[in-house]
Amino acid sequence: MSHPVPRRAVLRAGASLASASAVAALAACGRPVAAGDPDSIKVVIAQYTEGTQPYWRRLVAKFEDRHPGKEVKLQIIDWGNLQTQINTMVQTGQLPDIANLNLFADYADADLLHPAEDVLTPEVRADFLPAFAANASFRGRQYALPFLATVNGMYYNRTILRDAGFDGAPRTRDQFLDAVEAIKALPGGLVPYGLALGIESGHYEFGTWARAAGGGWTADGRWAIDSERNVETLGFLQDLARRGYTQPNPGQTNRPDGTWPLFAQGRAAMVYGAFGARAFLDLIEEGDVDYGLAVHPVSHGAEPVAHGIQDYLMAFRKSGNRELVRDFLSFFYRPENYVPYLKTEGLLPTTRSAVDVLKDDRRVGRYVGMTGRARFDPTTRPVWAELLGVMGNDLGRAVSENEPPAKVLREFQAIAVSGG
Amino acid sequence: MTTTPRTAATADPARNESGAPPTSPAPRTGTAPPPAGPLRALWRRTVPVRWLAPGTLLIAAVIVFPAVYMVGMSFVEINRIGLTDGFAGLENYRSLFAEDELPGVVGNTLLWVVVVVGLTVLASLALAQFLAKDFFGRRFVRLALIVPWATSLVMTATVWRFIYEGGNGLLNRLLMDLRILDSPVDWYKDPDVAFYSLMAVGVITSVPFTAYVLLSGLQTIPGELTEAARIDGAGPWTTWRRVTLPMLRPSLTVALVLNMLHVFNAFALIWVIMGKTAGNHADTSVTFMYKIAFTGRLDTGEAAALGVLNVIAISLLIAVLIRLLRGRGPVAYGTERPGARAAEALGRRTRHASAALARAVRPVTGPLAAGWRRVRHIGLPLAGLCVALFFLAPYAAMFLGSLKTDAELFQVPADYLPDEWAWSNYADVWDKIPLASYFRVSLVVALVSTAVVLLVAAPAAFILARRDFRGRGAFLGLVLVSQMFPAVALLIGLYREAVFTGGIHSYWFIIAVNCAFNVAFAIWILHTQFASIPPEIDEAAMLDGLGRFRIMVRMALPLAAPALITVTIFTFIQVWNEFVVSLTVFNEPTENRVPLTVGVQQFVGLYETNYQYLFAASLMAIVPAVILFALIERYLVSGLTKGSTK
Repeated sequence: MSHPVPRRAVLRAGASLASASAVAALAACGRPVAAGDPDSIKVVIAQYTEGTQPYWRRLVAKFEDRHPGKEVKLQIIDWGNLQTQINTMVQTGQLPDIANLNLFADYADADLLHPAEDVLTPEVRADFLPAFAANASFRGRQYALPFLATVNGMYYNRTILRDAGFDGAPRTRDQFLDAVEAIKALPGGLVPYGLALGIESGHYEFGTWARAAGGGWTADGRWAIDSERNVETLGFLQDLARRGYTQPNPGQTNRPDGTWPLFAQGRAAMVYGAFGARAFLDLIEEGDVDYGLAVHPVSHGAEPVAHGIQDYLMAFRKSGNRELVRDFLSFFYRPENYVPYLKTEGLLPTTRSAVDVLKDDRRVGRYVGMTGRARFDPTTRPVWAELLGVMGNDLGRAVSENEPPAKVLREFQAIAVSGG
Repeated sequence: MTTTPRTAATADPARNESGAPPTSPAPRTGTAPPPAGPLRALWRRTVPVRWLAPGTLLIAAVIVFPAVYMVGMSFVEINRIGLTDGFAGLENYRSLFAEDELPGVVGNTLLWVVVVVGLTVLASLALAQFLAKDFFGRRFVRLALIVPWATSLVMTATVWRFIYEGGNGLLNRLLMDLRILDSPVDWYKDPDVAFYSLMAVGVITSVPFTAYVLLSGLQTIPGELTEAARIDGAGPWTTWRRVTLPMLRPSLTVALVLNMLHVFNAFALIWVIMGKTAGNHADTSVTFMYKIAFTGRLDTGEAAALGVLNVIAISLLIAVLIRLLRGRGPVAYGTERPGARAAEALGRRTRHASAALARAVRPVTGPLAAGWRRVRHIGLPLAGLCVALFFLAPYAAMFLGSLKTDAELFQVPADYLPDEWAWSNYADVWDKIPLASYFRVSLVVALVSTAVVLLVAAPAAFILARRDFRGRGAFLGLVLVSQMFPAVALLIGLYREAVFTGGIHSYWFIIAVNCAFNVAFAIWILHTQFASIPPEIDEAAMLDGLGRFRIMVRMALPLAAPALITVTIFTFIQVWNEFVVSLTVFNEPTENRVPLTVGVQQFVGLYETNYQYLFAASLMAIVPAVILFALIERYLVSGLTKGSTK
């Protein structure tokens, strides 16, 4: 920049460069529809557990076996890189045909997705549990395909609570506060509540506590992140941490390598967790913990509800790819293929037929019925993608640095409102 | 900004005004006979162009497009999923400056660069000096040092996070056993200590490579010089300050500049350890950029704006650094720099002071030195063993971790040894993932890239060291600038380039990218080493009728063996461990085109990380690099230079 180039020329150069790349980006991206291949599709799946890759390899081989001449290119990506990789594909016009993510609304909004009715047979479509289908819809139309689900709430250690003088989990916030105080007084330096406000699950944890206080992300269809109840909830969580009722540094703690091992070792009395999730249950059973399940303790007379989370499949709109995508999806959602997958990952079903198969399962049978009644996060709103990341970073910070809850939540609300 | 030059100055041999070392980068000795005709003159004038062409083309072809693309993106409004919404003017820059966290992040970045680079160079100077000595077990220490360098940063960072855990962390267990700590510290979770823990890892992972750069520089210092100084009555400290340090200046410059670049652009290290913790207390501008683009705001335009500012900032830092480190050789002669006289006076004063200090402490140091001579033959190997164990310790933790079960990995307090040694993990890992195929792919990419880098860099470095020509500075500048872009910022541009050239998931593209990113380092290292080889050797060879190319091959390359080895190892390891670009443009499981670093990520699940397999695979991945090193290490040992300059 030290050359004596007139400023306007620099700006003009910048502008033309920018518009050139803008044009290039537009030309390469999905509007108008990207070119597909009727005989070959690319499927991007997230890495849930070490069973993910073997399962999909087998499924693809079986599918290709039954559909000679068709090809399914499989790419498994770990969660840490998944969203980045999919967005890079979108940005450079190299759309996958099917992709797996915990979001979909932005892609639907950009008109990049096939509506569900275009890529599912009526039977498969009707098989989704209605709550999940509704939570996969954008502007009244279903774009995403419910893939895997979890129902989340509180795991509690029966032994510790009994030692503290409680028969079962606390049902109200007052009981909860009594319980954590009693547990903290027990010998052995137990952690009364394992609080995970790290990036991985901070928004889940906060949202769950907020709903239990009668708050939540939205009220009457409008964003209400900075509502009075939510502000109170964040203050309550700060208080828990400050008074030593949680493990140290909850803002930097995640579930899989943080609160879950604590609980599994019998050192934390209560944690937020996914019901029936194999990854957690394996740990607990190894640690031989006598545990019970509950929803989070309520206040202000709120109705107790569990927290539902679902991940999606999306079918990207490319010319000529519909039939093969439909064949592959129908194949995957057949109970004889879908149920083994649920067992592989240790997560819960989103279809009626799979619920029927699994309702007597030793591990997950008790939870499959709960999925339809759980409360979901507003993943159907595009701006949720941005909120997730910002909240993941800032909620934990708000607790570790004791920032004023109202200010922190107002910032989230501003992002939500500006994003529509 | 102000702190960096100060750090540079403390390690700056320019303060020591004891005459210019004979390492001028471009001796202008008239070597060739007068030209016979205009064609011949043209041919001669274009020598630099021809010798530099391959390197220039490589860098230009691979890096210029994504760099320009990044600059372009910073002026475009891009939505959350990467689609363009039109020209944004300076809006991205405006929203970047409106981020509340920006001042803290800038402060962190400066602190990070100054502390990590400063400590790294100081520690490496000492270590290089130590490794240049002859003692029993030196080879082992050098091999130990290669392990942290050879391990992918992603893996090293993973094991450090594992070591840094709170109640179940190994570091806490050790410090509590030693009664240094009463209760566990959350090394990477506690916002008050996290950034410092991170800096420690930054230094520990940067030292090996820096020590090798300095070591290869030390090998070029003729033993006669230090001997002469000693005969003149100079003590070891004075000899080191007056002879060794000035002679080391080219290597020191390389070490500082490259460290600066790597540390400033460090991403994997910080991200793996801190990426899942909330808050910005450990964010540098590069991780902050990643957060803006990919995890937080999802605004690639704003991130590109930060990327542009990053490149400008690092360019300025490097420019200042180089200016400070520039020697007073032929480059500066004839023109008295302003302040030179003051510096000279200051230098005299400090020399007097240090001489006085030396006199004052002699009664103490004299007996000490005598005592040291007596225990030297035990002391040196013992110190070497400590150094080796220090650098191997994290990998020992990795090894033991690879043999533990899930429950043991989270046990409180941590156990040093596994309960049951699960050796089967090492066998199982080959079945869990197609590990053999990953190894083959990585090996091919790394070997070919290393060969290409050497072929392209050697002539460029040679001509840069031997000829002064117009554009020399520009070329070195281009080479350096190519290193200033964090790969994370170039990803989208690289992907687009790969799509455009049909290079997605193909060997040639990933090799070209790896070469382009590494050729700069190779040219820099080689050119300083060539420059330190006395040009008289060339002249003698030329009189014997050898052409320039043959001079390079027969005379210069053998003399530059230490640097060639450093470059070979460095390039091989960099490519072997490259992760971010491969993940994006070279990752096609159906065609068996997945490199090792990408492949082992399969052990990182949403709810569970299979540390034992991750660690087992990582440890096996270190083996090729260590073998390569063991094969060529002996050429690093001194004697080569001395032998031929006699």
